[in-house]
Amino acid sequence: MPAFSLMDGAVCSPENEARCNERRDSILAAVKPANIVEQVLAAELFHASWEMERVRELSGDPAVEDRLNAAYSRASRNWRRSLKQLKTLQTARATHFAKLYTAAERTAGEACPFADLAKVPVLPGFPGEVQ
Amino acid sequence: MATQAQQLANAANAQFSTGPRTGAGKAASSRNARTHGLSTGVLTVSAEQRPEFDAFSAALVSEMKPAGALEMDALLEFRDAAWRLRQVRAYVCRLAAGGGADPLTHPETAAVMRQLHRFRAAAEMSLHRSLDAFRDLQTLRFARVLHVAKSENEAIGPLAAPAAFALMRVEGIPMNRLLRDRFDANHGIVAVT
Repeated sequence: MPAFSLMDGAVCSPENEARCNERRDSILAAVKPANIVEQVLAAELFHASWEMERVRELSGDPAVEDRLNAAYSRASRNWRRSLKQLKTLQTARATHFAKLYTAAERTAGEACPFADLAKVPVLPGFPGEVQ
Repeated sequence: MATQAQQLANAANAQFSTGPRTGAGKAASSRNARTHGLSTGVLTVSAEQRPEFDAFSAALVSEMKPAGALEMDALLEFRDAAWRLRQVRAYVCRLAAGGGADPLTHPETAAVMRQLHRFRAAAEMSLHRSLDAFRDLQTLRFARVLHVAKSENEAIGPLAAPAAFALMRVEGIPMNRLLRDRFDANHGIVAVT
């Protein structure tokens, strides 16, 4: 159990608490964060998702429409960015797992766990051919 | 209505009220205009939150494995942005706990929410950009391990794009790093410039 929680801080009334927790668990199940950075992004995804939900529930009053639109745009942008980052990170993690065969490559991969192998040229027969 | 004597005495006394003089006093008065304490340039972490913050920092360093000042800078920016976002959420929760409508629509929170909105948007941008920068830096470091021959270490700068050196031509023949290492060993080449 970490000494800090990244998922805390969602604004929810007592009657919405169960729904909020369900959404958090559903997002965690969909994302399965494997390290602290993925946990940060999963938390951003959840908070953005929950804020969009709150805005949808609160909408309808023309007096606060501008405020709600601004909140929705910001949450929606952060939701998309966090999801994109998570896809990139998990793809990089999968690529490390799938493409680094030799001890030398794996050592390099462990030293640079966030390296994006898709951006590193792969030559015919290399990597994978390292003796 | 103050008498002329009182006005003169006030003016004379005011000469002694020139604001804080000590460093601590100046630091305290510099925070007078703060409403939520979140919009400052430097991240402030309360003593109460310090153990959590330190645990978060340690977890990031342990899992992101930064090497060198640039990767560390990117990591610290990511950490600060993530923590600021957490602080904003805690603040909004406190507003919500104050009672009444949701802070998104409550008339009394309009000004502070607008401020928080800007602050949060900046922190979110910083979070994503610093992570992009960190990933790019580690990708360059990884590419060097795979693609830079020992003799080329000084000649190729650490920020060079991998595509520039991955398949270098030696005497007109494209060679990967293994072949270039072998070529250097066969020809006694220690360093190229």
